[in-house]
Amino acid sequence: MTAPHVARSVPASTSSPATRVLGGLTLSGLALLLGYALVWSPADVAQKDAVRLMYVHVPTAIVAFGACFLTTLASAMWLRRRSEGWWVLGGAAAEVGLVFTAICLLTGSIWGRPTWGTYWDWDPRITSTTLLFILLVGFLALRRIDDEAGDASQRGMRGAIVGLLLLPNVMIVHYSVDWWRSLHQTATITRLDPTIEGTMLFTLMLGIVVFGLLFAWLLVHRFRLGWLEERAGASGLDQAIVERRAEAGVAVATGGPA
Amino acid sequence: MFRDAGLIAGKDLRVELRSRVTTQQVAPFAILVLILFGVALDPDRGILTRASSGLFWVAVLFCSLLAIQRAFTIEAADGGRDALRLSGLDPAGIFLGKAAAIFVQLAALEMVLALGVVIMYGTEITGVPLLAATCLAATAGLSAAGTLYGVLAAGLRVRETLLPILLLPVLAPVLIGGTKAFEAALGGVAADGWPWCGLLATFALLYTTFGTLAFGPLLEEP
Amino acid sequence: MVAMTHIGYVAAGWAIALVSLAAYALRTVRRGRSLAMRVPPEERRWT
Repeated sequence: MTAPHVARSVPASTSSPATRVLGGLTLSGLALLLGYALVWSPADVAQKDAVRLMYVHVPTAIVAFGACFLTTLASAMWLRRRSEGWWVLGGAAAEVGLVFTAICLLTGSIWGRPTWGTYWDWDPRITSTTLLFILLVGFLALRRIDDEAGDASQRGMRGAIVGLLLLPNVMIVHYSVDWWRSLHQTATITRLDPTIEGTMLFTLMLGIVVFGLLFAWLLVHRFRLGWLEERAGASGLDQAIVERRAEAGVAVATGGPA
Repeated sequence: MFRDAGLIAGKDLRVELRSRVTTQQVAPFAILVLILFGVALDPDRGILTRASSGLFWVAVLFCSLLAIQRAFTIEAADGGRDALRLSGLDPAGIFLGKAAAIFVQLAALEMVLALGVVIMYGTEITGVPLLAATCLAATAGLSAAGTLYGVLAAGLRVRETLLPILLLPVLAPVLIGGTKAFEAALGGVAADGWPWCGLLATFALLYTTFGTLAFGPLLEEP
Repeated sequence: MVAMTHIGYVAAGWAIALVSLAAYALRTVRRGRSLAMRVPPEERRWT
């Protein structure tokens, strides 16, 4: 077997022709989005230019919830099939989802300052999104511990159960918080006026598409990274054994202690 | 399944009776939480009375963390977990039994807390049927979800820090539902509170069902 | 565009979003590269 450290003509990374295309599409879409979001779309009547933050905030929110769905799906599939791919996908989706959730919260908070005058408001969505954030953090923390615990055949059940419950929990929390806050509705500006149209609607749709593409790109890379981590973990022990035996062979040959 | 549940519940409650952890440690903790709230919020301006529903349920949540941790610590010691697995008891029964024992302990704690809130916060009790139903439904949900997540965290060394962040976001709906239902009952508009009670009952049903199904595989984990 | 109201907030929000995403992307790809070197190419089924 050839030494795995020999540099190959194919560069070692998680990229592939597919991701390069996807990445190129994403970047050009992003450039277009920036143009529309910051320059070509008009300012809102009520929110003025703060609405331009919605073109980040709303897409990242949608992607974050999509990531939850994916994590739950992957956990369910893992419970049925026990294949490694589903396990890795669950973790990858959750981690990328976590990044998008954080950005959603930050941009939402920054948006809130000029619009409502405050960085935090007990709006149902910001509250339930923050809880989603913590749910994801807990899930990933549990997985990490599960990863380090037993061997491959036994670990994963804990993470899978929590992952399976992720989407239901998100939905229950969202529903409860929504109901709870709807009783306190004072004169708040709704986060997104449902009757927006024209260029603003287009920019929003474009934003959803672009951030969706970005999520896909990040997911593929994170998935492959996770896949490699599994491989490296599995072969790590084999590697160590090979090296140990090599050492022993050398020691015997030279007559020294093994 | 129910016979096994009864066995487990009986065992857990007997352990509690002998060790008296809930009565000697968790109940004082509950009172302590109420006092801390009183110290943090101005007792003289009626905030405590107005907020008593929410404060009650926050205190219940904190106590439930302790009760759940405790329920699984007694298994971890002396290899109790392996004994459970080898005993041949139906895992669903084990789940229901453990949840039932936690339910009883939490119900007792809630009575202590209720007394505390009435005495210390000056809350007046009205709408008792709604209050009782809410407690039943909420506690059932707390016990079921808590037992499920408790067993998840149980085998891990970081369980004390992991269980809260795993469980509390999940229990946020219970806090919301319990608080709103209590507010309705105490405010004299019980009709507003029953839908929230319904939410709590649904939550309890969901987690009891799921826990019964998922407990078997989880118990197999080392 | 310079006459934009709340320009500080808009700029800060977008900057935070883009920088975080770029940083995360970079970190993921870098970790992927270093791991990929240690794993034989047969395991990397996407190239």
